[in-house]
Amino acid sequence: MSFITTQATDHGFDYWSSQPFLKDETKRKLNEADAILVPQEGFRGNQEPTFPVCTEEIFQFVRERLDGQATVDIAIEDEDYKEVALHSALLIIGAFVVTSLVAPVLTDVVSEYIKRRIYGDAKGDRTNVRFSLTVEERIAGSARRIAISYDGPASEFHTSMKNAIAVEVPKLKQDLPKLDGTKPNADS
Amino acid sequence: MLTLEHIADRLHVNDTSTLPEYDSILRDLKEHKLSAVREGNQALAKQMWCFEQIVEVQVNFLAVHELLRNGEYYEGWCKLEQIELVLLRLYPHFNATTDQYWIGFIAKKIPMLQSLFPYRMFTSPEILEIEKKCNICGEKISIRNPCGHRVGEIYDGKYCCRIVTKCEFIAVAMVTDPVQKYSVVFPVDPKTGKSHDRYNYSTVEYLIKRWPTPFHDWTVEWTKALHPKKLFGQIGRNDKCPCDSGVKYKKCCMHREGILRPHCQFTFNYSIPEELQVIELSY
Repeated sequence: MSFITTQATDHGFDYWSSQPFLKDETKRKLNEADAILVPQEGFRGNQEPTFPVCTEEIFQFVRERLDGQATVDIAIEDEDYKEVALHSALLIIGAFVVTSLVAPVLTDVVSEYIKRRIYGDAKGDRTNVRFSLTVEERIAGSARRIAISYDGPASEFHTSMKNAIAVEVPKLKQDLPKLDGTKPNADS
Repeated sequence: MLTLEHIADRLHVNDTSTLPEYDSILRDLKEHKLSAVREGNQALAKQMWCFEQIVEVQVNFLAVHELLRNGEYYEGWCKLEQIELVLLRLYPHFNATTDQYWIGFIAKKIPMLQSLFPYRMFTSPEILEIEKKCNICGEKISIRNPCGHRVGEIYDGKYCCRIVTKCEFIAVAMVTDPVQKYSVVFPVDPKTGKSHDRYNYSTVEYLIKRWPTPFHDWTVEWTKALHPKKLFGQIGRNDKCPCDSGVKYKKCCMHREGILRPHCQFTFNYSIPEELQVIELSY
């Protein structure tokens, strides 16, 4: 049984760094980041960007673990940051946009975070996890993106996500134009 | 005041005759913790905090057994959740893989006991948390510039968490897997306007009749088994299947040898009276 769904998306670094709720300085930082945590849009009809509960924890955790390896930021202003607590026993990690280089290591870090969150469920089969990772590949000003979503037991998270990245990311590279300018079919 | 070694020793309980005086232990732990904080000994203060949680787990587990014996099932259910939450806080700071201080035993029993309860539907609030502060330093939480205190860590013998200071209530959802398990849905009696408990606790009752003290060890395994059709009386082809699948009988168990229903099997690691060694059917 697969807990992974994939789909092409336009919501990459450019999309998030051009959001009207962000200041110019934040937009610039997001464009330079290797990984950004992005809000959920339109939750319960609410137009404000919101994040799942415990985003603060995962953001600090990922930033500390990737310190020196990757720049991690969040697509919101400090004063606008809000979390939605659903109080269902589902571990919603939220959504990241990352470069293809960072995708595998970020998955490792998120997997480590999940293990720390589910003490008492050592096998990880009693806790369900929801997570979304948009991987972006850029060459010569062009970009391709794939959104990889996971919805399933914590126990299958790491293997499923790593396999999906191993399969989907090379496809992004195939679709991109080469550095010599041939195959110019990229969207941006 | 008891020394730390004595406190640790007293918390090694293994039957009802070895139970310590918990109130006095908690008082001594508080004193030790204050002293450790005064001396700036964070590791010792954390150790005291761990002992406090262990006491809470033991006291609540004893209470669960007592409540279930008294037929106070919902109260017992709530206590189980309280233990679960204490264990979640405790695990990152205390190795519970061994059965030190009775913790491993209790941790295994919690999900088993919870599986015996008939609760399936819960209310779940949805809340927009707008502003939070740190319970350690009181500082308002900033996503990019955090105060430095990590949620779940122990500072000065105190568990670090966030306090929501501004929020909006969005909705209430009905869920089957709630964070807060106490939010069980109880029907309201239209005559009195008060909620009343009409759940079937027969599986809990089956256990509690055969569980003499909290220290007696048992396990439970849930499977599915075919139950004789005659136990369910006349079942029409278009009736809902008695197996609770929600589909019509003709499309479900009608063509099976029996009705496929959940089957709960207990294994008691101690002897129980012969008259209690029976199968009970609960429909």
